Amino acid sequence: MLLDIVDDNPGDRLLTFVERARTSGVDWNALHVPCSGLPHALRQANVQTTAKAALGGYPYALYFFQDGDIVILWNGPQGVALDAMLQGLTGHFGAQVRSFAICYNLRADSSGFRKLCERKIAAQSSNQITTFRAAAQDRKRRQQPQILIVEDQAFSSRLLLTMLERNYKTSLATDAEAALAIYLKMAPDIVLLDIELPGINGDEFVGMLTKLDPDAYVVMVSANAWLENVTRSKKNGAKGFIAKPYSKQKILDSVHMFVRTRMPMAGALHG
Amino acid sequence: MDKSLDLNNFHEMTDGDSELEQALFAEFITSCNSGIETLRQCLAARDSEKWTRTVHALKGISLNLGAIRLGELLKTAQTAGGSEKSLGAIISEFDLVRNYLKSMGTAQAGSEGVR
Repeated sequence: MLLDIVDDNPGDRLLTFVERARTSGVDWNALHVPCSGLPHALRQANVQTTAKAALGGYPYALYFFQDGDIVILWNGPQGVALDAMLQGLTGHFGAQVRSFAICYNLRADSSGFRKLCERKIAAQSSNQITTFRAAAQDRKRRQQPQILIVEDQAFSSRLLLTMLERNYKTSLATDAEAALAIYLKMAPDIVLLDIELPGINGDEFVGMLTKLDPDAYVVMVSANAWLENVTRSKKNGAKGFIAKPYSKQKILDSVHMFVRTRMPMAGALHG
Repeated sequence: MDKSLDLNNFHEMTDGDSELEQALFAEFITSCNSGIETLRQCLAARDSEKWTRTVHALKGISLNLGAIRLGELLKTAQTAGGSEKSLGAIISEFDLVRNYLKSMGTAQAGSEGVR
C-alpha cells in the first residue's frame, strides 16, 4: 500500500478515487495541507479528530503521505466544512496552516489535484527503490518469467490468470497504483497491461514504469487496437500490443517472445 | 446463435474447464447487467465520456467471450456515441447471449445429473 488510508470511506486508492470522484457527478472536495513550513508535523490523531468534528456529517477520507503532508477529502459543500476544517487545524498546528493549505473541487477542476497526487505517489515510490533494486537483481537469476497482470475487469483478469498461472508465477492488480506497489516489491519480468484502467491509465503507467525501470517489459492489452493506440504504446515504451479478443496462443506467444529475447538460457533449457 | 456466440476460442482459453466456464459466464452476465444499467444512466445524464468507457469495457469482455455480434454493436456504440436505439440493440443482443449461456449451464447441470 503506497498511501496510508486512515478513514477509507471511498474504499479506494487515491488516484483511482480522484478519477471516480471526477466522473461521479457528486461534489468531492480535497484539502491539501503540506507539512513543509509548519512548525511541527501534522499529527494524525489531531487531524482525525478535527476531520471528524468538521466533516462528521459528510462522507470523508484522510490520506497521510510519508513526507507528512495530508489530504482531506469530503463529499459535501466546500464553504462551511472548509472553514471548520481550517479552524480546527489552526487550533492544533498554528495559523500558518491557512497560508499553505490548498482546496480543490474535484468535479470542477481535478487536474491540479491529480498532478499533485501523481507527484506524491512518484516520490513515495522512490522511497521503495532499494527494495526494487534487490528484486531486480533477483530477476536476473530467474529461470521462469514472473508475470504481473494489470486488469480491472474481473472476467478478463480471471481468463488471463487461468492461461498463465499453471506455468508461471503470476500476480494481479486491478489498477496502476496497486500494480506499482507489486512491481516495486517483486520486479516482475513481464507486465500484461490493460489500457483503460481507473485512475492512472495504461498509457500513463507504461511511461512511469519504463522511466523507473529501463528493463521493464510491458505488453499492452486492449480492445481498442487502433494504429494510433499501438503507436502511442510503443512510443511510451511498451514492447508489444495484444488486441482483444486474444487467444491462448497469442498470450503464450508474448511470454515465449520474452523468454527468447531476455532469458536465452532459460529458453534453451525449455526448448 | 451461430453469429451471436462462438465459444471455440473461449473453450481453448479455459482448457474446457466447465466449472471455470460457468463461473466466467456468471461474471460476464453480472458485468453486462451492471454495465447496461450504467449505460442507461449515461443516456439520462448525457454523460458521453462515461458511455464510451463503459461501452469499451463491455466490448472487451464480449469479444473475449466470443459474443461477436454484441461486440460489434458495442464497437459501433463506442464510435457513434450514446443513443436509445443503440442501447436497445445492445440489450436485445445481450438477452440472447445471456439466455444461451444460461441454457448451457442448465444443460451441463442436467448432464451431470444423468451421470
